Amino acid sequence: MSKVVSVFSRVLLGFLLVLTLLPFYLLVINAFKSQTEIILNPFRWASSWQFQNFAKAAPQIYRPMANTLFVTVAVIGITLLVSLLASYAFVRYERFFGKEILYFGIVALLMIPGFVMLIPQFVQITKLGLYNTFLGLILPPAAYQVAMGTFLTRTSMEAIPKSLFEAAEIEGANDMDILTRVAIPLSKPIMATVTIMTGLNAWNNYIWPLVSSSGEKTQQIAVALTKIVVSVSDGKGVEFAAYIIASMPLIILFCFASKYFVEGLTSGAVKG
Amino acid sequence: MKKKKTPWQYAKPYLFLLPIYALMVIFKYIPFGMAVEKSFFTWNGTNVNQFAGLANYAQAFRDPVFMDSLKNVGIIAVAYVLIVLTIPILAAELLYAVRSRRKQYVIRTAFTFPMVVPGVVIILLWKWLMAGDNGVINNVLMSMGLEEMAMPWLGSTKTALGSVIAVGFPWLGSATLGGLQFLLYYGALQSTSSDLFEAAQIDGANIVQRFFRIDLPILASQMKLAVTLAIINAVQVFDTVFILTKGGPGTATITPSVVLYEQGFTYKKMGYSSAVGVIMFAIIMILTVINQTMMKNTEKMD
Repeated sequence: MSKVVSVFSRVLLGFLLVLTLLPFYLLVINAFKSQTEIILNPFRWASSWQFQNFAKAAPQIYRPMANTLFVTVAVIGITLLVSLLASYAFVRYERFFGKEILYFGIVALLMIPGFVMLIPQFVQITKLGLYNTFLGLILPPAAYQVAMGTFLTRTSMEAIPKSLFEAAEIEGANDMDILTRVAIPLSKPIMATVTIMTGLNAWNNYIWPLVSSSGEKTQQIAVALTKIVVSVSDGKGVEFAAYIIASMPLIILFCFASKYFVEGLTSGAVKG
Repeated sequence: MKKKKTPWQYAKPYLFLLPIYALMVIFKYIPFGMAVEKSFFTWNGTNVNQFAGLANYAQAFRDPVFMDSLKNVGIIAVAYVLIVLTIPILAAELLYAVRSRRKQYVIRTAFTFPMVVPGVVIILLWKWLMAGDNGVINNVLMSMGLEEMAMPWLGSTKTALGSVIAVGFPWLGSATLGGLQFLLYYGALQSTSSDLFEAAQIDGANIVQRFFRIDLPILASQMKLAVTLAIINAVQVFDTVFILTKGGPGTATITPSVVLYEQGFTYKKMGYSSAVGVIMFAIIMILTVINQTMMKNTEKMD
């Protein structure tokens, strides 16, 4: 009986895994095919490999990818810097007026769905002259990421033994020394998690670039992918090649830091 | 050791908090306040700005398109809740039952990989799978001799909403819908002492008994969180709908987020659009509170 169950459960797990990965397998094999071959049988390997699909796709998404990389790195940088400064205040200063309210004011943002603010945010960046600029693409998303960033870095920083801070203080270190030489080095794992979480959100962001930028100058990859232009003779293969190229940066990162990815994906959800 | 604090020292923690508050107040809290305020105005973002009382809210509940969007989002929310309470738990249990730790790790990584692929890529990929002409699903149906079942999945009023929900099936590689929950459930099982499961086995509990008496109580907190996230994602669902159908055909897949976007950006009815946003906020708040009070947390076990 239990043998049957065990075999059955393995088969079922394998089945779920195949179903999960099948679309990506199809994406990869069809990216190398001509439109005729894709239509004929999407499951078969290419009989003549169309490497030029990638050459045709790359020029269309190279610019948006560079734009998105810039925005992503900036959002990550701001999120880390601002969150670490805020966490330091909460961890190192045991008592100051309004401490708990100020902390609540930060994490409360997580309870407000982003869509509520979409319209006024658009009007506001337009008034500030940030429409269709990199700053306009960077600052509002960063302002959201810092809430989760502070929540995570504070929790992690609280676990650092207080005696380490005190020892540094006695040695004559000022706040900046303590932050850069004690708090930040000991927060590296959580910083990796925040980096991944923030990076995924920034790279995948669709709605904000959709409303806050137009034209090629600042175009982000998620929006660019929905606007790939292919000639009838090129067909879907070129689109698929573009999807693959656009996915590569995160996939490469994932190969080197899958552990942090699992944390980056889940820790965002496990909030107070 | 206590020294008298100088004003400078009093100010220090606030200085550390200055950047975060500058950022959040300018780019989030002021817009949020504006959204609530402008929901009572007839507003186009520039020159038209007139107090209108509750007119926007009254209009919303008389607007058949918005009512359809509420109905659709209700269906999506129920579907998402059912999804996150079934398949990810099943997958987590199946994975946990795999003996070798190494194999568990490899399989988990394989499931995690799609979560790294940009969401837009997954949506566009499914657009192709479900396409009416030359879509993969129709291709499979035809090759199986089931031509009469082939249809434009996203283009037909009957199947469009179901197809939008089906994107990412079996949802285990989806960063927002099922995959995240799968990782949470699996993590909870992994961090539970295996003694508990062995004790159950010694006591002669069969798989079904073990699942309901031990596993489900262990996963209670994760299930509660999974439901909260599913509701939040369902009420705000945008990318999938906007990219696949723009809410159509007709209003078959319209959602409040798409109404908000179109009313605000296409028709410049930004006051009305803000009211839609505030209603979405209220719905999420109410559902979250209900969920938080109704569902149990994992009890502490010794």
